Amino acid sequence: MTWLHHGRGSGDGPWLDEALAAAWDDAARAAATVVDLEASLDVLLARTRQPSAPAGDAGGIEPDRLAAVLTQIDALLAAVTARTTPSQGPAHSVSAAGLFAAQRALVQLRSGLARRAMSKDAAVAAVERVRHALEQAARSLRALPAAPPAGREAAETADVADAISGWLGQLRGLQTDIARLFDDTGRAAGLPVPVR
Amino acid sequence: MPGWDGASAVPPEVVHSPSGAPKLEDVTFPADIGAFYKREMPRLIAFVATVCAGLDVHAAADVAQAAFERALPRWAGLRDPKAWLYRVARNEALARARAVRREFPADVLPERPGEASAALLAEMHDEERVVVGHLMSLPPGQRQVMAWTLAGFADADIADAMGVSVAAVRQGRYYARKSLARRLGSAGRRPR
Repeated sequence: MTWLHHGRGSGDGPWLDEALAAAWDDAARAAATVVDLEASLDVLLARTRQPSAPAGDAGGIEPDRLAAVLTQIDALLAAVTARTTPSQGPAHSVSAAGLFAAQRALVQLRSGLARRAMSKDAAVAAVERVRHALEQAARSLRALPAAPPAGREAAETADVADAISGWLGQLRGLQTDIARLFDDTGRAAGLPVPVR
Repeated sequence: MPGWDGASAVPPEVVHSPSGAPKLEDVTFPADIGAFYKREMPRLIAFVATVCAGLDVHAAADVAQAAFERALPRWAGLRDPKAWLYRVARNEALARARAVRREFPADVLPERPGEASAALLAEMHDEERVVVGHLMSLPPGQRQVMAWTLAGFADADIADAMGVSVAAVRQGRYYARKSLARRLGSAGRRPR
């Protein structure tokens, strides 16, 4: 007897409980088919026995993950630095203060993480400083007097604004990755072993 | 040794060692951790996939494994290991979902109503697949209440985990059940 043959239409009686319980059991059974439970348990126990770093301690950060984050920071730093070259147009001039501040915060972030001398709170604060500086630069651009739409200055303003918008997007991903560096084991979680 | 029974009404809480983190030498695995893991891991995957629509079953498995990895070293200090495990998994799943939404613009990754993992559904039986499909189409709050309920938690635990009142949990479940009964009733009346 299944829920299809129960007193359907007679309210949410026991047949609904049965249907839900059966569906939940079946979902768990289905989930068990995509993971090799024995192998995943072995991975779990092996990783739990490894020494771990205290929460928020950069000393326990996994080198590969740190390298990936540093690569992201380097790319962002290079892009921001390229826009801080003097003698460009008015859009670059008005956004320069914000871009320099962002550059400085990125350098501090990179240096602190690379030396493993930065706590999670300090890293998060540095990322916030970068974000604040970029948003300040974006606000400065918006405050520029409107230039003729087809002119060079308008194109330059749009170009810098697009770049800042892209960096802010990258920063969100970077922030997530940095937070994950500092989980409470200081290590990436061991992945379950798929069946196939 | 804490019990395995997740229906306990005791709120989950971590009891830290004096240094604030469990010491490696203090880590002792419960004798039946293997049995618990094999029983609970698939259920935790199903729970994560239900709570966080949009995570496929493999991502849900990653989340579940990460939750186990965080729970195991502090197991002896947990008043209710199962509740702690599920809360960690739920928080991690929601954090991942938020990260995905941040990384992709809304027009690339539009907000979708709950959608069960295709890989999970593919492994399920026909009738149960229909039930899970309807479960996943519930509004997020109702879906979460049902997931916690099906995972065996008491209303007080669910309210605590979701940050809502017990009355809100009961109301959410009432409407969820009503909606499911209506949808499944309609499905049941269809000619087979």
